[in-house]
Amino acid sequence: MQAVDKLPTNQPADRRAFSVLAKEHHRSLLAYAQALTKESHTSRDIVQDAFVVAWRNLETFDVTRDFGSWMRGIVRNKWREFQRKSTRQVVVDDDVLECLEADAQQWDGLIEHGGVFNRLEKCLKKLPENLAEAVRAFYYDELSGQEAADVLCVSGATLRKRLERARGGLRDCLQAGSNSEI
Amino acid sequence: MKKENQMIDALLKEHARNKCADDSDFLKSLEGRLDAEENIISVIKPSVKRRGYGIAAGVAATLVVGAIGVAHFTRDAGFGEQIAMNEIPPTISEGLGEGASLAREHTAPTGVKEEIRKQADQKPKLLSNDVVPDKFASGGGMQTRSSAEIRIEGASATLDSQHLPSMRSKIGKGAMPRGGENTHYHFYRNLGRSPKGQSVIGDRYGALTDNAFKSPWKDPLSTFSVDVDTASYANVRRMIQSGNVVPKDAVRIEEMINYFAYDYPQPEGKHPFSVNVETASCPWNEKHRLVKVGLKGKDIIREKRPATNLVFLLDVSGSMNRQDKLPLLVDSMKILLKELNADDSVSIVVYAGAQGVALPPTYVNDAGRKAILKSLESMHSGGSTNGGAGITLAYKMAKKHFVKGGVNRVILGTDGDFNVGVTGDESLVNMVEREAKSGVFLSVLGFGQGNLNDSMLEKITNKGNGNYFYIDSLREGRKVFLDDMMGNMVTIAKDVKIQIEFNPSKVSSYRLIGYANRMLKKEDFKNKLIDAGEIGAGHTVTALYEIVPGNAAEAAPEVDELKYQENKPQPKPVGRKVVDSPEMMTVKLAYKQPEATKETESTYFSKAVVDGKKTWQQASEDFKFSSGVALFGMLQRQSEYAGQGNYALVRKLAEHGRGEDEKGHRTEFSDIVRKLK
Repeated sequence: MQAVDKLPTNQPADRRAFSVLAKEHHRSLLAYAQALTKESHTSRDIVQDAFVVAWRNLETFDVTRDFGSWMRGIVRNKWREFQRKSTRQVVVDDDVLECLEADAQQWDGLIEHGGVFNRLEKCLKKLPENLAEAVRAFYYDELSGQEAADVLCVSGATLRKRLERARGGLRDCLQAGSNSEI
Repeated sequence: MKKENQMIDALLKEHARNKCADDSDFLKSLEGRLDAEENIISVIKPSVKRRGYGIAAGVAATLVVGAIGVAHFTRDAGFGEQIAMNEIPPTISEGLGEGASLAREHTAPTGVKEEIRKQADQKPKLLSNDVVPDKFASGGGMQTRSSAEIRIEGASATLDSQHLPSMRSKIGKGAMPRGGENTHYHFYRNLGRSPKGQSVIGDRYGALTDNAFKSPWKDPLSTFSVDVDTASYANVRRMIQSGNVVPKDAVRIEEMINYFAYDYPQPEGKHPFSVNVETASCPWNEKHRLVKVGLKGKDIIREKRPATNLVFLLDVSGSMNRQDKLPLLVDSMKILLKELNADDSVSIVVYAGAQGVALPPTYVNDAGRKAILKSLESMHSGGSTNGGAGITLAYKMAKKHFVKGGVNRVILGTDGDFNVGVTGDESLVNMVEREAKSGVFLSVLGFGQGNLNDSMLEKITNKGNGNYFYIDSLREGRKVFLDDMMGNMVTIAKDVKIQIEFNPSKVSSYRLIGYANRMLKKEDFKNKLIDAGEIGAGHTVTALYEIVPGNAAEAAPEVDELKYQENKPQPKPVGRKVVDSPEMMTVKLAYKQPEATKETESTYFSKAVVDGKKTWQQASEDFKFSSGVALFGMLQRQSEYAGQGNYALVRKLAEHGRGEDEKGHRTEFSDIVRKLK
């Protein structure tokens, strides 16, 4: 909600304010779009298009809502539009959409506290070493599941379990952060 | 992965990509697009106002009471909301499902319904920010109308927000003034192109109608503009090789024939190209004759070619992000770079959401070469396409660094999607035509599939004294850049027109194969103001005529007697006598020197043709091969004129006509035909 204050209402849309909002939200929206499309290039296009649509329709933006969830609504519509035109369909059911939205909303609350990515870095440091190294190998060194498992000398199943635990732990940590710091 | 963890998974991936920093490329590109939006909005606003007044005035006149007028406008607006569902935010577009639950959670006391109404009221005004080209306009002149208007029309027809009729006159009269008899409107529905022309699935082709048989009594002259494009063959080849169905209108027979080089002699004398005519029996109808007219441009030794000023205009929009698009384009450019030297300069303009100069004019010396390579290496795609603004910038740059007496050319590499800004085919075509007069020619390289706007790409080169190639592989890139472009870049003659006069005592009827959208009116031949194709150094252009031999007067079809005219139709027009001549036809040519202006008079020369009564089996390899390619094209177009022709005959012709085939192009053609067995 806090970001909304930067938007002048009932006035000609302010480009600078919009740029500030875009700067604040673009990366979490990219992450959101990536969760939908599972593909980084498509998500960039979708988020770009969504910002342009938002800019065109800024006057319809309801100031009582928060910018992040409004943008995610547009991103979802852009993603559906893309899905219709694409031969490759990624099925994301409504339960998952709800989970994504719930997380994203919570993380929007971190914007004024340095943003979700800053918080994520802190949380990463709190991970136990065995989980942290799994995350490093899989996400940051961009190894495949099997390669990461080989590097860490564990079975594929163990790696999957560690990654799942790491994701759960990070999610809890971010949640705690957004609750405590708001 | 648990559903609860999918968002954190994506967050980790995003974090790994760029840690906590902003994605500056993304933001830069977004800012560019927002800038472009502002330009569009300021252009469109006046018409929005006018329309608003129009509605108000109309309502007032009808209903007299102003208040009722307002109510009427509101209802109209609600309609706009219904049909613009696909891009508006969830509180409006998703009254159901997850959108509704979100809206409930976040909506202020006004309540969801109230909000929907409130926001919907504003919708038409907002939608009018989207500019769409209006192809309904007759006469080819492009008008700009707001998408809100189009959408409302679409909804009244189908009431379906996802299937707005995108009617496009693919070959409009205004766009193809010389296309006279072959011009017609073709309406496409649901080709996957949204009214705003955003990048979508579905290649687009202009509709073509094959030339019919004509009688020399009625139409003694056949006039057309030369075409050195080759894109159609490479595109059709790609479709066949990947097992796709080839759309009829993707097949332009003259481009297929001209994809291959033919062994014609060098010109002797003052004209910059030689004219070579060969006649023999027609392979797919032995009673007919086939005439091959071949032009060969004067070779220029590579070392002697003039300095070049090349401006590459590269599409770096999101849709170019595929191995067969931008990376292939970059690799192909590296091949060209090897051919250029320190006298040549290269600059690069990119366009996506915003256009910009990626590389200022750089001479291709050692340091320059490195700079160009570095610039090429850093190319990456993202954003949507503003082709119009990009082209404007590229021409500006080419003109600024114009090399007098040299080669000045804009080379556009794209998958053909022009999304924002100057969108309509016609307005782009007009712009390119206008710029061509400044002496800067245009080459277009088409890439990829699924998004290829073949019709527009061909049209803009028709107008822009340019040529259009399709590149689907590095091998093709090499052919285009080294074999074709190096020739094409040095234009040796422009506005090249061919006119053939048939002798009615030898030719009962005739038909030009291909060149369906290259036909000119007979009077255009002598009109210096009419633009036509260009021929590059060393280039060959080939056209085939199918001829029904005999006496046109005797063969005139029987027509029922006219009721209102006293002069009954005669098989041979009264008072017209035929000159006794053994010639079957005369090939006449008109051309201008490359540096000539519009006002310069063309140079004319001609060549008479006597039919030698050869059979096709006795004809040259080039004759056999080109007729094989023509038949192949006719079969692909399901042409009624293919006679007894079939793919077996195409194979036979291609194999008998293969010759030395140093580069393997003819062998590859045989392989493709074999695939269709």
